Amino acid sequence: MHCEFVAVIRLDRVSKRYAEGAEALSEVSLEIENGEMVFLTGHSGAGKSTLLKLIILMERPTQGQLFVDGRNLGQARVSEIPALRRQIGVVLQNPHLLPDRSVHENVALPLLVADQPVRSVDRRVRAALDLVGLEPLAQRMPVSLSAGEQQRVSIARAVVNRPRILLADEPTGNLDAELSTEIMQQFMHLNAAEVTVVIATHDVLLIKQFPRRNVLLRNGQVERDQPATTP
Amino acid sequence: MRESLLRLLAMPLPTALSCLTIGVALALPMGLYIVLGNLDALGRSWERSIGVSVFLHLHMEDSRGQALAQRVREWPEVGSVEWRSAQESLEEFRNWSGFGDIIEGLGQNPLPAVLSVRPSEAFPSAAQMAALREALVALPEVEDARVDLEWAQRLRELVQLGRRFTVALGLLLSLGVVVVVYNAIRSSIAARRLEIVVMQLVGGSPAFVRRPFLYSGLWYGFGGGICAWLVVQSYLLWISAPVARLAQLYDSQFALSGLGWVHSVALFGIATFFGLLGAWFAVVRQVAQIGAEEDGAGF
Ligand SMILES: Nc1ncnc2c1ncn2[C@@H]1O[C@H](COP(=O)(O)OP(=O)(O)OP(=O)(O)O)[C@@H](O)[C@H]1O
Ligand SMILES: [Mg+2]
Repeated sequence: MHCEFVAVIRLDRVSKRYAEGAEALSEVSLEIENGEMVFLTGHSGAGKSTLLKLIILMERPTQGQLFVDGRNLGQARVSEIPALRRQIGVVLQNPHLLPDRSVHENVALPLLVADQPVRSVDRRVRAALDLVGLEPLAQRMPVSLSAGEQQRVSIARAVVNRPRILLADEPTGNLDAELSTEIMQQFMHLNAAEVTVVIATHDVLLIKQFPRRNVLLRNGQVERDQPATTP
Repeated sequence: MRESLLRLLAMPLPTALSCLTIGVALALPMGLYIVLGNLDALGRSWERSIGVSVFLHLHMEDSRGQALAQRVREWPEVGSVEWRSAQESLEEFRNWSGFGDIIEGLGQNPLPAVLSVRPSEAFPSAAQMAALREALVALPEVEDARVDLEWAQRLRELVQLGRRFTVALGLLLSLGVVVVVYNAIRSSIAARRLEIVVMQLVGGSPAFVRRPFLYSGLWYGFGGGICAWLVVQSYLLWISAPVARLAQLYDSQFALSGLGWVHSVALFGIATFFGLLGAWFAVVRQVAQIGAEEDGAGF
């Protein structure tokens, strides 16, 4: 059961210390509500990526508790990780498209992995590509696309499973200002469709352009949590 | 599964080389096994007539010889005893050698009566036969005794030794198959690293990520099995004509038996199994490693 204003992501004094190295996150408490769009900002090494990695169970917290959709991730078994990841879409700085597969096949990957019935795959891939405006390029190979188009394909791949949460780490890191704006508009678009979006970035211009909640990390701690400013 | 096959066929040369290596590695012990099986069959067909020829003292009365035959027949280690009188021995020799006239000239039968003693056991050991001979020689009526077809028995023991050697060789070369497949799969895992990382990222289970590589291992093994089968079959075909000629020379009904379907199925089964095993080792080691390094993925 899920009601509207329940936190979809909740960190309760979460700390993360890597095997070798200092503490990447220390006692971070944070609540992200359903349908929110949040920027995660901070200097390089502040812990932004670490926070996202904890949410998709690529890393485990050393201390504290982390809930996604009411589920305590600290108690998730290794065998449950794939299923939990399918509920979260991920977009990275590098789109990571498989060069030997068409755009359509790349976007279909999360469905394939989840053993979705073949009939529904095509329909859902088309819908996802339509969302990012790339339906006409479905049969193209990734190398023949521009950087911005490639990133949009990776967004389509992230949302083809209809995840409730979308995480993005420097999604515009490789793109110029114009394309960055275009990608951000895709995220706004998805957010309007009730997807919770968390974007880690240090692109200050972009944040100014899209005034949303901004969580500023500094040395692994939340320094400032600025609510969305109404434009 | 089909996709993994197409992927392998897309690079025919490395795939063919791997399959050929596997094939040769498997053909060697398999061929040896088949040849030994044939030798064993040959040995057994001769060995069925294994026994001890017991020569009685010259000029012994027939009744004593027959009584002895009767007594020996009672022994537990003895299967059958055939008594042949001195006269019968002579007749046989005359017919067989063509020296009848000379023997006639001797005036007196130089041949003794003979007991042909067969052991009760179908395939007795050399030691058992020697013991039987000793016991027979010790009898007062007996002049001498000789184990017939001793070499057939030796052959069987050699075949048995050869079998053990083949099994050891087979195990060793199977290890080679595992290594070949392991290497092939390892390099294909390295080549498809990105795919593995992305699949894990979008929630592919370890089983899902492993599956295509295990299928590849299966195909490598199966392809290797086909190669091995072809090698063994052509080898048998190649030697079958000389063997048939040889058998004819010895007036034998012996014919080379090839890879029956039981052996063929076993060969394919073994090949596929070791292919899968090699792939499994590669996948368990390599994919786990990629999983641990996943954060290199671009966070
Ligand atoms: N796998 C790792 N092993 C050890 N230390 C790590 C690992 N990943 C990150 N760190 C350390 O944890 C801290 C936080 O790293 P993180 O990647 O979360 O920063 P970030 O905010 O994403 O930085 P950037 O903006 O450069 O991407 C850094 O000091 C980093 O060196
Ligand atoms: Mg980062």
